[in-house]
Amino acid sequence: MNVVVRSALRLLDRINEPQTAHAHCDIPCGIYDPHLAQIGALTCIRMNQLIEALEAPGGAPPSKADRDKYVNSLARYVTVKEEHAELVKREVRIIWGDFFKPEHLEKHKDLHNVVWNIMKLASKTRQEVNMQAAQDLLAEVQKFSEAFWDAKGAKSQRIPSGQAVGGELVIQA
Amino acid sequence: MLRRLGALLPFARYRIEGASMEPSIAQGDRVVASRANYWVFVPKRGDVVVVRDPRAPDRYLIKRIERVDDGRYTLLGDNADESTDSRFFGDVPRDLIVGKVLFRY
Repeated sequence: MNVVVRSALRLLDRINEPQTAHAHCDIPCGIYDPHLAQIGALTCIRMNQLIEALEAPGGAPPSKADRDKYVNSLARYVTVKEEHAELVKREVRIIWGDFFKPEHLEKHKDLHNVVWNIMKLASKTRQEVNMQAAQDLLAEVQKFSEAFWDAKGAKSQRIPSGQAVGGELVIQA
Repeated sequence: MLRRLGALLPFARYRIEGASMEPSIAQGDRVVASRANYWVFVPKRGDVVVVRDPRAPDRYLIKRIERVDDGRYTLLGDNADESTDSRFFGDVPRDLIVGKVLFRY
């Protein structure tokens, strides 16, 4: 759009604020589930496994084909690890911010601390190739998931993930 | 009073609150809507419009016209998962439609 028009409109906005037009959803849908957060944490563990298992290309210097293959695989694992650690943060933030109410905190006094740990551990999982951080992340997300189901008044249980990565998932019992 | 007079102006500026029109219009965007457009033309399917909330006429909503049927307008948000629209408050009459959104700025 024309820069002059845009600037003029912005100036007008300063003199006289535009009215608000709402593009809201005013019905909270009330559907929350910590499943995706757990899948995200498990995926981070899996990516650490794959990175650990990835063999460095042989030869000095390695052939271009070997190097490309190695770099390509590593880049893909790191990308997926980045995305899924971020998914964990996003999902946990939404449930924490939108679902949990002050009365839940009375029973789950540790909740803020667990969320804080998840944020820190997810960042650490992104920054480093660090299996321990990914394992700790899953453990905290499991605690968070158990608190969630309890706050919903439901029982939960831990079951084997059934995936190559191993580990457990917290589900509604 | 000023607002009353403002209704006579051909154009109006709006700031968007909420995500129901994403990805076409995002939270915090500013848009210009043309009132004059509907002094001349009838609102038609596909128009993005500023409309008075049928539940609270002092409140403005921004939605897209999905269907026009005998003077009744079905409005939907582009981001259907995060939109309160005709699926909830029903079709709206022509006189609640304020203006056609022309562009963001």
